[in-house]
Amino acid sequence: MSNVFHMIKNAFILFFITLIAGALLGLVYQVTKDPIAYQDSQAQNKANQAVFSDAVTFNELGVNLDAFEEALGDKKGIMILSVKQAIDMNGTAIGYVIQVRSKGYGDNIVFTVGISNDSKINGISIISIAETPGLGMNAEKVIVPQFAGKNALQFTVVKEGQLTDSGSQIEAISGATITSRAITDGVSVANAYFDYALKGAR
Amino acid sequence: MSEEVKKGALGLVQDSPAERFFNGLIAENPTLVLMIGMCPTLAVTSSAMNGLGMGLATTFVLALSNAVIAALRKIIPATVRIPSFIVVIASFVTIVQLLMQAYFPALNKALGVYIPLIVVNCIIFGRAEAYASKHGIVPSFYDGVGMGIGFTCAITVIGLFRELIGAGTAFNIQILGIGSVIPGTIGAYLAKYQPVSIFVQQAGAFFVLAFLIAFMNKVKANSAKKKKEAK
Repeated sequence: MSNVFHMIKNAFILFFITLIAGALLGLVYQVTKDPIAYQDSQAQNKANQAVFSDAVTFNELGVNLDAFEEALGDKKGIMILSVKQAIDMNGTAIGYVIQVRSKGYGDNIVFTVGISNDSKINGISIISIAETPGLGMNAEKVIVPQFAGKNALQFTVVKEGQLTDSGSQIEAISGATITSRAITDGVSVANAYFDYALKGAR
Repeated sequence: MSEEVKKGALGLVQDSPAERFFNGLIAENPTLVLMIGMCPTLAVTSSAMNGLGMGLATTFVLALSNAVIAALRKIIPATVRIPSFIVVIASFVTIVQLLMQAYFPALNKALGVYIPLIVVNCIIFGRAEAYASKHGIVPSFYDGVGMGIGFTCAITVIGLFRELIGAGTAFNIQILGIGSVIPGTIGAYLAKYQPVSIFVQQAGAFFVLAFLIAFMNKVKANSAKKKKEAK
């Protein structure tokens, strides 16, 4: 009899510990909810602003899945997360910001691509990346600056120092071909999506 | 009436705050002596900054969970102590994660994926089981602080070596290789360095860890020898 009593007593103690822990977590969650949402939107804005420094507002447009399928072609592991129209302080639409998720070597790489109305890549900005330090993590330094100002439809990755067409080729980070390709393919898909869904819609 | 005072690490009074602190830092350093918590040690030490951030987050959780478990040690029944410890530890980890997301987004960006790993970090669980569940709140808290700082120092040093050899940087400042911040002829000479990428990959963690443990053992063996000779 006392065995059963002990079991129930222990179960109740454990139950109370979890109950208190749960209540505490709920409290912390409530307190931090707004700051976390604020930080997220802040990071998002920063990434948008980074690719279109002249824009002041960004209007959310939906993602057209048919156009996305078309743009994706046979590439794998790439998803368009959001499409926004960039509007400058005079109220004119100056281009689009497309947020892309692409499977890298370590984890998904999330970045924004800014494409101006005349199909030029205005810039790209990485939101989250977790690649190998010293190799893939150099993407910010090596890959990102290469895109600005280019206006090819599809980009290809070539080995370091083997650039023959600077308009459409991207030099890979040595030792991190997968990372280089993930970002380059992501930009290509965003660019193709722009071509199918957004270019004519102006 | 003379009560014999128990001597702990480094000849300090057993279970006093200072003794607990140096015990964790040197005598029973979790990474280099006890060899627990190896998963985060190998996974996050690819740079010094990552090591430091992970170490401090772990220290925070370790000190608080040790104190809470010590406070509850008379309430928690022996048969359900393991789930109870896990609940306490997991709660603190979640709190740390939420606070970091809300107020330290940069740190969260760098460590986000590693924070949930603290829950199953055996240093925290090991200290709860081996120390906090048998001792008072104050020594348990300092035990957590000491162990945490010991862990932080060890993984920051490992991270520093891996980063310097593997990428030529220290705390993200380029020291060796192209773009060295050191000016003049020394800088020009250092810029010729070619980073050994294997050191920032997983295998490099084993190399650096092995060297550090060997060094630590050598120091300990030497000091033991000196003590013997002095007698």
